[in-house]
Amino acid sequence: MRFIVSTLLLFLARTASGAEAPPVFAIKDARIVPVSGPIIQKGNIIVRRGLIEAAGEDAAIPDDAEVIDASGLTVYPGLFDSSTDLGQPSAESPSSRQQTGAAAPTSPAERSPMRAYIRAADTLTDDDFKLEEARNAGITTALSVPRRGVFAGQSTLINLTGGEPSQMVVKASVALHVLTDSGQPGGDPAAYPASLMGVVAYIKQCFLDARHHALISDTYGSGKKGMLRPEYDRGLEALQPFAQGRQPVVLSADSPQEIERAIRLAESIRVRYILSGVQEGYRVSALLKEKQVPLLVSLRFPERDRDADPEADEPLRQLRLRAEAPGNPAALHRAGIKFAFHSGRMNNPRDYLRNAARAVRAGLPHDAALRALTLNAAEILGVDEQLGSIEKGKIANLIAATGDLFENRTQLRYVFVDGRRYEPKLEEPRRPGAGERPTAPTIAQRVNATGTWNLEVELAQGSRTYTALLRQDNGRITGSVRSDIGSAEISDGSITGREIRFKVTLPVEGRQLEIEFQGILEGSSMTGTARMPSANVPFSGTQVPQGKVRL
Amino acid sequence: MNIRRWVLITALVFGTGLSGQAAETAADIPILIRNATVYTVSSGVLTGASILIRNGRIVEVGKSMAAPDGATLIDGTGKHVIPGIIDCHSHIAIDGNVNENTLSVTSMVGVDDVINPTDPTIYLDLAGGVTTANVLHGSANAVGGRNAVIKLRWGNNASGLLFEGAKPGIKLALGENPKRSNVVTSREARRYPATRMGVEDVIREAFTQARRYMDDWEAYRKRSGAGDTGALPPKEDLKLEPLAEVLRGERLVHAHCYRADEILMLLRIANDFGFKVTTFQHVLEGYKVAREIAAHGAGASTFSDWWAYKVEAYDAIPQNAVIMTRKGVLVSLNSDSAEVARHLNQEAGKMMKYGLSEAEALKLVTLNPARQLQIDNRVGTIEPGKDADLVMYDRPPLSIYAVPEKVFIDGQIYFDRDRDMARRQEVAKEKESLKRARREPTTDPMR
Repeated sequence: MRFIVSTLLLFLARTASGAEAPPVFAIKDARIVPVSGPIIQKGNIIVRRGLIEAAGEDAAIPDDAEVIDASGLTVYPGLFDSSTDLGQPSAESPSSRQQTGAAAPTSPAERSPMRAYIRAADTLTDDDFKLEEARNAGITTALSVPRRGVFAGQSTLINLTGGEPSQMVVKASVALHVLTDSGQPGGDPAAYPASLMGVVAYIKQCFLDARHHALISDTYGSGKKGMLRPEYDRGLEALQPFAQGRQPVVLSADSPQEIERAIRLAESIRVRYILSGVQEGYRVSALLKEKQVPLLVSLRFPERDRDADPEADEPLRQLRLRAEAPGNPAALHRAGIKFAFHSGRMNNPRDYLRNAARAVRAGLPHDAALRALTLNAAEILGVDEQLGSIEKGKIANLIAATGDLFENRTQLRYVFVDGRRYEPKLEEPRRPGAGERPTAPTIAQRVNATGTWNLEVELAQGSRTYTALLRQDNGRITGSVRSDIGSAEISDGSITGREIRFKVTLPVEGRQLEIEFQGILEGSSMTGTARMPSANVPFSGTQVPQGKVRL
Repeated sequence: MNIRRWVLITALVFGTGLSGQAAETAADIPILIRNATVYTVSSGVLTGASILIRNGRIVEVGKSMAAPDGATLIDGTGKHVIPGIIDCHSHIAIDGNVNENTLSVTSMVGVDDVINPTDPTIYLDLAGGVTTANVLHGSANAVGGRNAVIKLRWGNNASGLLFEGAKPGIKLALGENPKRSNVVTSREARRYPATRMGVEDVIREAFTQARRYMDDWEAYRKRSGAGDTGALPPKEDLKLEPLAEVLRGERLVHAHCYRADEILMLLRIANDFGFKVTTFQHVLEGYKVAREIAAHGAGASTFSDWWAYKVEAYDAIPQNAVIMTRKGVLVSLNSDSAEVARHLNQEAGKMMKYGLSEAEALKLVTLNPARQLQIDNRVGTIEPGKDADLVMYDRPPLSIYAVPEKVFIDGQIYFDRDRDMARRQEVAKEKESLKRARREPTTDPMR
């Protein structure tokens, strides 16, 4: 027994520390797909101190190398995911944000729409099981993107070694991410801007202010006596490289009108820009081509909600989009538009390659798909000197697969990040017809919301109390909420991790309002935001101990 | 699919929106509508009349007209044609919230930035004969956002909807809405003003700031014009810029209001600052101060008979539009609702009960709103030179039974009832096949 425990501990320690990193590897007799050049049917790749020392048919194997027999394997450059929340603290997690809405920001700085000075590099954490999941799926490099505020901050490109955060950083500041989601883009519903049109105006004004700030500061700096000194403003200071066109701004846009709007906005604030998402780019490919916009295209194809009523009538537009989405990359490629892929923060990183394969089956040439996963990403993100292909001198981010990357049966044998070797657990071959399922273990199984809760909603007029009977069944929340005039059924209830969400229509100050509760569960209490049509207010809940319920 | 595919989407039934399609008539082919009853609005009703359309404009209106070669002929026998309906107060086609709720002055935001050309209500209103809409910011703020005057060219992109050349406007709001008295809100979201006095103060303060802003720029221009290279420009302020435009007469003012006292209050502000109120919107107590509104030269855009939905709407009377008209106010009827917009002809028709002639009633939703929005050189009547924005009804247009059969904008048919009916089946079929493809295992072996 003791033996088993210690072995287990040893095993855990080994996995936690990532993988061994001897100074020199020789990947021998592999089929090599360098992306930047022709395929090498049989060759060696020499990896030293995390860099590719040599790659080719006749790359000599040094004496000090650990030889990895890669005969029968195909080696590709490691894959990029060009928009993720990998390495970011989980409160920022947009995958949970998509499920349950952003966790309520607490400090004034977190609530501020101006967070341009935030760098993802500064909040990086290695405490993230998703890093390993992504790496197991062949992703070696990810753009870690902050996701709160209008000016959400600067993204950081990281190698998914899972080591010291500082060692993961490839490029600390890649782009400024501007969120134009309608509604409250993670900010404060009580503070400007809280509407899409407010967000647009806010972005424009900030760039006007930034340029004016630069003008005043420069004049002051050039020694003008008698001039009042300009105020220090960290937001406007942070915007400078982007206002001056030295670095790009990333705007998210999926539908044609969002894409057109983003382009209009980018042109009006006069920045170099990249569009991200672009799910319906195929419908405005001529415009995208004309504007020569680099794209980060999401591979998270729209899917029907698994819990949706099978008989529900859906708009034709939605049905069409679902059918057409996998063809989007092919259409963009045909139009001659440069793009890289990102995962769209999908739940299961393995779907990233699967969906890339779907894009290939929908007409995207194999090579183009590969480029969108590797070299194009490196070029668009400005790291093509270091990454994106298998070339001498580049960072040794490599994946060794049992066959063609877009073949269903292909498995990843080795993943190298910064020259460190990882061996993904071999995947069970997928059954045909299996849908997309999140494989990540959810905390939901450990958190339990089932029970009776007193919910206190804090309105301007004072706080109001309601009683909720909640039932948790896997990720679903059902039940009802009682008020003084009766009981109402909960709809759209879900729990992801500790984040709970449900909707219910309640009487509020004499009106029947649909309220969406979003909160974080902490033992027998929860706190969060109650979203109503006209306001978002805080609420808190406490679980009533069993046996004390008065029905 | 063909790019000129009919845009007759069955939004009515399926709530479906599609975009990216042009209307189905090519602009360069002349169209002749023959033997219809034509309500010109500018010069009476013509029976057995024809309308010739070329390049999107009305070329000729008259009794006996030869069809040009290659013209598309539309039989108007038994049909009634009016100018396209203009809705002077609409909130359709807006992405995100209609209000930027958070501040009392939000002149920096604009509906023009967030037009959603795929909003199905565009098509619904089009099917009700609306061809032009004044899309306004909401009334949560004393000084609201910029407007967008759009044509309901369903199928075009956002910029393709904008009424090119229409003078820009801004929303002001008085009374209960800007003081947030009917809104459940959080403690933090409470904001000044909470009284009508406060609303007046906020508006005065905003225009005072705008004046100062104009002065600052004027001073800078003078200095730099005089060769002072050390002169630094003031900061461009998106909030004050539109208000400066109002003060310069370059931007129209659309003021949401109910009560007589606040109407007079805004007139005093306008006189003090030297700008014109273009339209009072809703203006349910306008009949009490119609003379003052007329003397200022402001228009009034009101409801037919909708009131008592809140305290400040209790003193309304259905004779409001008629009384204001008789006192010399330029009056229109608006919808403020994607649903009401579908039957603005009926709203106008109701005014005949309270004393307007058929011609006067029809003007309430055609020429008068066109004049209010200062686009009457383009739309509002059926006369040569104007945009061919037309509605063809099966009955006299102000009848409760009248149904629009065809709606033209710029000479193109954007709604056709028969084709819409036919298209519904196509859509149902396509949806069924898309759903089947989802249910059945695909031939794709990888899935």
